[in-house]
Amino acid sequence: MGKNDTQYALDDLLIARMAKEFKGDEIVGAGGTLLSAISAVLAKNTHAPDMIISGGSLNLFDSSFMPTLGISEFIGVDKAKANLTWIELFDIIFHKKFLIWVGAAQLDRFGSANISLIGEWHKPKAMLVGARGLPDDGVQNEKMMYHVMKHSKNTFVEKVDFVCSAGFTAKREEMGIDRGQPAVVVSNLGVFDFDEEKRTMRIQSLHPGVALEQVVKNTGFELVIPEDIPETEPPTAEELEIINRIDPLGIRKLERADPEQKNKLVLEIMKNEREYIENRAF
Amino acid sequence: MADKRMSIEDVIGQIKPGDTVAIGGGGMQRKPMAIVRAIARSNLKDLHIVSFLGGPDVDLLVGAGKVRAVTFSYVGFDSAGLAPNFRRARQEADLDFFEGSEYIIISGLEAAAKRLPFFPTRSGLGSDILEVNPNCKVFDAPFTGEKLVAVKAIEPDVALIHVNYADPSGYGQILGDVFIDNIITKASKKTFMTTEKLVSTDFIEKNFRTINILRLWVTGVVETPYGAHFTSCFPNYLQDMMHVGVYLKAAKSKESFREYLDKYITDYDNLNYIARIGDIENIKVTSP
Repeated sequence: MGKNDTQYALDDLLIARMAKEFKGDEIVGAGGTLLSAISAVLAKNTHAPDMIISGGSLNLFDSSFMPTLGISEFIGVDKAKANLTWIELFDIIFHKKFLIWVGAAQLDRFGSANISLIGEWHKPKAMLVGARGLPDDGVQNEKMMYHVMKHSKNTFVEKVDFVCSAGFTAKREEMGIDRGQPAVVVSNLGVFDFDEEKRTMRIQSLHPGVALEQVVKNTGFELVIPEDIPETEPPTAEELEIINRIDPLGIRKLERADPEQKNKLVLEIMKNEREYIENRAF
Repeated sequence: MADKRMSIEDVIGQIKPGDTVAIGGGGMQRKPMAIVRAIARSNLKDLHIVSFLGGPDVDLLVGAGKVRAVTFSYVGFDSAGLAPNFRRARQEADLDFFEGSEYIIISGLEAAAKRLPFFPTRSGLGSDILEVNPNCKVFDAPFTGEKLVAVKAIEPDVALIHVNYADPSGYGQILGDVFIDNIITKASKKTFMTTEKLVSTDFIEKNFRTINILRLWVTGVVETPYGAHFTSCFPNYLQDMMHVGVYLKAAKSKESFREYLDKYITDYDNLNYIARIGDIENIKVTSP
């Protein structure tokens, strides 16, 4: 993919777009997917220098973070500012000082999200990892941000199989939940937000080269479609330069690699990680 | 001070079939795998495992047929993928599962640590967790009337943790992410602690500012180098990605996993196991 004279991959565009949701407040920012984890680091290196990146390990709080396959908790040892406990981390969350991109397995039009399993809870068709911190974030965070790696009718569904975080539902009203509203969704096809009146998902922008029909065809519910649909802004040359610097292992390429490519990449990255540790480049 | 040193056999001898067992660490980090392996090799069964961020601990014990129930918010191998034995059991609806969020599990353990019947939180409101987990109930908060979730106390019989340094009396130091090891020690009736290195009480005194585990909560200490393998133990060693590959391949079916257990976990001796793994140098990290 390329536009004007700047060459970039879809990964770079997604990272740059997701980085923009971290506005620069003195908060803890994190990404639950590889690309969104890099987006938090990009934000810190551009418009959000006061942000604290979470992702390595709580004992290396507010240190440098680099996305890796297996060595993240070993990076930034000399830059750590505190040895945080999980109780303190949750106090930070309760004070709305934590923002995270969640890698959703399923989303519905109201922004209810599922990461736990596919199928019926008592006997799932496919167990994923469990609800993890989503039922915490979904009632505490300033806003919810979702990254969907593959936009399809399996991910953008009429009804999520298991609600880990309630979108704009009757239950949200009934329970008096006034935080954790779904705010933004980034997929490989576009960026989506929520219509203020209907409270359902709306197209905000489509990535360069993506047709509206492609999105409609791959979404399992009716999207709110505005009259004018802008193109998602491509990454700048400066952003691309920084992305290369903060992801020296090329972890970002893993998320969209096909299985065969992926195995090769994993082995390569593992070797490079080992060298990284050996050379004490951190 | 009491000398709480013991062997892994002694630890296994103090766990009973049917016990609720809380396991420390998180995901692929600092899991007390030497004891987990010993349980897999023992005659113990019908355990209820509590692991707020489960990984190879839950997966191995489920694969070895030692588990009747799992309380969890997550079970996975982090960037290495999903947990195969756990998934299989979940999909076959083989065991009892109590799914919470991270903070719901922490709340249940905090309740026990504080000797309360439940712990209040907003976590889980509006989610389906409340539909499937009988240990979470919505109530109206006194004073304000707002809706909150009461999480029933989780009271494990045993906590198992792995630390970097411990002395014979039961003081422990964790250099990496503590996760909720400090909470499960207080929530559980007994705590057994493996340590990379056994140190003198003098060492504890010199490092008193960074001691995480108090001897008050600890029943037994076992010196167990590489006790967290194949998860990581910061700052000593990385997760063993090569062995993770071996494990994940073996865990594709119940039969091949049985072969894995027979090949790698033949006795309680962790160093025997490590010797069978082969190239351990590959994961060692020299401290800066």
